[in-house]
Amino acid sequence: MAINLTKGQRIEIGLAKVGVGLGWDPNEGTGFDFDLDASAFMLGGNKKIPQEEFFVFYNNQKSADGSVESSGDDLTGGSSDGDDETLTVDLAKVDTRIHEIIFTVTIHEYEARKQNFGQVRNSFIRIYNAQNNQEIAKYELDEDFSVETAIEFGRLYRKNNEWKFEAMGIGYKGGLDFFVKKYV
Amino acid sequence: MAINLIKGERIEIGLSRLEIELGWKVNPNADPSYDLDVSSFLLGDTGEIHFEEDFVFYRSPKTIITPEGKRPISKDGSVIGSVDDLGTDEDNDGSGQENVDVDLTKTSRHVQEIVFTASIYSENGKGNEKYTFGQVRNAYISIKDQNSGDEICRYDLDEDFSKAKAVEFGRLYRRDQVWKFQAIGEGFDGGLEFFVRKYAKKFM
Repeated sequence: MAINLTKGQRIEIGLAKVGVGLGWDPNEGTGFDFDLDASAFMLGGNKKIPQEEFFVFYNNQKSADGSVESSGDDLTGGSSDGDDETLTVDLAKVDTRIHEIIFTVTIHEYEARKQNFGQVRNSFIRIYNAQNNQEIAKYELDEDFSVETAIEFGRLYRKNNEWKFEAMGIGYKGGLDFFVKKYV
Repeated sequence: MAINLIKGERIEIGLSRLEIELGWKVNPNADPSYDLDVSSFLLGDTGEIHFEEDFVFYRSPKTIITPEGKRPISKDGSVIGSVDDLGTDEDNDGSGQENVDVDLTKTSRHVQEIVFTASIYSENGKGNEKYTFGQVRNAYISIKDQNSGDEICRYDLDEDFSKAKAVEFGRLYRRDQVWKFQAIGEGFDGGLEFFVRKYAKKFM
């Protein structure tokens, strides 16, 4: 059973490897495809990425230290009935300059396509223990963020040499560039 | 004040007896003529109807006589479909509307959602290839309180559906023991048959 998180609740991870899965159903209608993107921002003490390669997204599928890796860009949601995009994190490999890793979900070209999460059936973001597939937290995007187009899902952060996970669940009406301006 | 929903948006309804109104405007001088038909699908947790009567449309097997005329009704009696509006209104301006009455207190426990669709039907099927929602204007779905007639929320479909022959306007669905409404506004190119294949396949 997954834990149903209230926003901002902190959970100690104590894990070596975690996965972040993003899933959704393809658009069966005559409208545009739904293209959701999962990204990771690996931040230093100043809340910015130390170098470009610590921003993991569809055009940079591996972080500079090799700790965060993307499964690749799914343009329609048709990859599977489960996760369509996955980010895997090997916490042992994370560069010592990195204080936290923020995970976001955005909709590609949401403005031109007039889309929001509410339109995307069975859309979710989840974080799980990559070693035994046990789910730690999950949001249903279509239900919880129906009029929004971007969310900050949660963050892994260091505290006393331990990695912890905090569920954020903050929705925005913006795109990936909004987070780029914030963290890059 | 009624709430104007945007596509995809969801709200809690908070009432049980609802009137769902779908409206539009077609070209009154089209030849062959065409009209829009509203259908409701009462879906179980499989995403399909359990009983044939849970596809409520102009040729439903189960009907009820009302002051407005003969109307289709779902197996559990919770959804009473519309009287078919063929667009033969007095001023012949092409505007049409169909109303569906819903009483959620009567809805069977197995029903998880009720989907409201509109599809194009042309005279004897002759113009079925010809017409799309590109020839439909001012389409909307409105949820009203059946007792007072007050509008609770409304969604105006503002897109170009020129490839669509059928549109899902919205749906009522159960979520954590409450009923919510979602504005959908998604077009499909297969006509009413597309929805039957999707939601009522075992009865085809």
